[in-house]
Amino acid sequence: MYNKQVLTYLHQATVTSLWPEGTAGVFSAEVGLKESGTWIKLCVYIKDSTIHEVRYRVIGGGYLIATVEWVNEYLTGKSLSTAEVLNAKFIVEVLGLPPQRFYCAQMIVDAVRKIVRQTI
Amino acid sequence: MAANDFEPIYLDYMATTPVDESVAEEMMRCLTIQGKFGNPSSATHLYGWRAQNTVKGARELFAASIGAMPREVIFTSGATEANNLAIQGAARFYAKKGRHLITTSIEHKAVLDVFHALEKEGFAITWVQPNSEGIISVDAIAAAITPQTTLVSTMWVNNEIGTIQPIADIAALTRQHGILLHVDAAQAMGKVAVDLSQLPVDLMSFSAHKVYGPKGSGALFVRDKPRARLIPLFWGGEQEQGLRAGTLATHQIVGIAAAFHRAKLHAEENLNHIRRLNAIFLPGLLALEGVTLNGSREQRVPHNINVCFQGLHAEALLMSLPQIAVSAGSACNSAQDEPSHVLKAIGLSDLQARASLRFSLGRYTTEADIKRALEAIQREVQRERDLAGK
Repeated sequence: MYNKQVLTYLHQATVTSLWPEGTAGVFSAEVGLKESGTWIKLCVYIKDSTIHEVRYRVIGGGYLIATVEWVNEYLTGKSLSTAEVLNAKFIVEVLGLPPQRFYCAQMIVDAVRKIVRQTI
Repeated sequence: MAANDFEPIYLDYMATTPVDESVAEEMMRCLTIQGKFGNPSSATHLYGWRAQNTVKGARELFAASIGAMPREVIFTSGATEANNLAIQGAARFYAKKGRHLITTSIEHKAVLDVFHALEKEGFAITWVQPNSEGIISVDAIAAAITPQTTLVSTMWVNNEIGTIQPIADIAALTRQHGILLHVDAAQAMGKVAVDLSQLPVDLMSFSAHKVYGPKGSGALFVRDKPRARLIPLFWGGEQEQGLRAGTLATHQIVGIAAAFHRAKLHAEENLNHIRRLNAIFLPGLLALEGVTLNGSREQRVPHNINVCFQGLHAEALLMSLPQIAVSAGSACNSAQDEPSHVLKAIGLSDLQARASLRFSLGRYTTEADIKRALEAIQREVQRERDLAGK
């Protein structure tokens, strides 16, 4: 049986076009490797220290896609300081990820932290 | 087959099949006070005699459906037990003659794990590798034979990729060398012609639930002439010629016999139905970008379609397609996170193995099911490719 939360976010994941390179206020980070079949590109539009919109590309299993989509929903409208304290354990608990899928939460946290560092 | 519009389309017939209604009815007649509920070993009253006669009739029916003699049939709790009895039983009986056994790397866990256990006991095992199409060559088995070899064990139809092994040629080889041959035929009945009167195989395992029979019911064919000798797995009665102790489960035996009889009776008609479905489904899948077939295209049963969705994850597809009941491989492995040992053995990378799904067609699958499934898969594959930016 798959976790209902995860399925909801997996089904919710929709494709949006990424912003053109160099768009003002957009920060992006990549984690993982396309060749290894596990990869995230996270792009975030930030204005006045607030995350206004999240867009992404993802290669991975259902849990990874769902995790990225959850972060999309969670971070939109939040402040950078909220993003800064996001951690993998919290995501695992909220989404009910199985222990062997901890890496999905860790990957997205790494991506978020890379973006936060760029804004400092 | 979808029981209604809200039920998923069942495309996992190689995991299990629903019990044929007429088989279920026959089984029911062996369970209740009005039925043949007696113990077939009770030789002192009518209830026992009725059950005994029922088992006798079922044994004859089952034997006839596989081209065997009734005394060559040992009923078991399933193919797993039959595999264990055949492999452990033969390996131990002939251990004084030799302690070398041969099997293949693409067997079901119900065979692989038995050989691993015997390896720990000190038996030497040769694991024959398939070619990239998933076929075991007779030459590869011949090359593995030593003077110490007592048993070769191979499956007939692979449960993950549906490839058909050259059993007649392997049987000719083992007979020539005087070595026992065990065949795991759990997936064979109803898919290929099974006639043990023409095939010099010594031991063959069968399962009822892959052929519209009940779960928990199987059989081991043990050739009488020349007699394949076995040491039982457990003791506790003289049932099944002392090879399988325990009260005979009349309803389960009736179930497997009726299911096998029907499979043989309707073999051609069922096979034609599956071929028609396959001719729609397989080209439909292969028309999608980056989809390739795993295993031989020709030497396989049409029931099985195992494909790789290059660049995607099977897990994501499985989770995103609740309207289709399908699996990534063997049901016995589906709780594990490891990529399929069969797909890796035929040369797929971990990524490709993790991008593969097994669809299996059955008697109740309709053309409408296939078309609906194809549409859903097409949509989901495109969505996941778009999410990946491909």
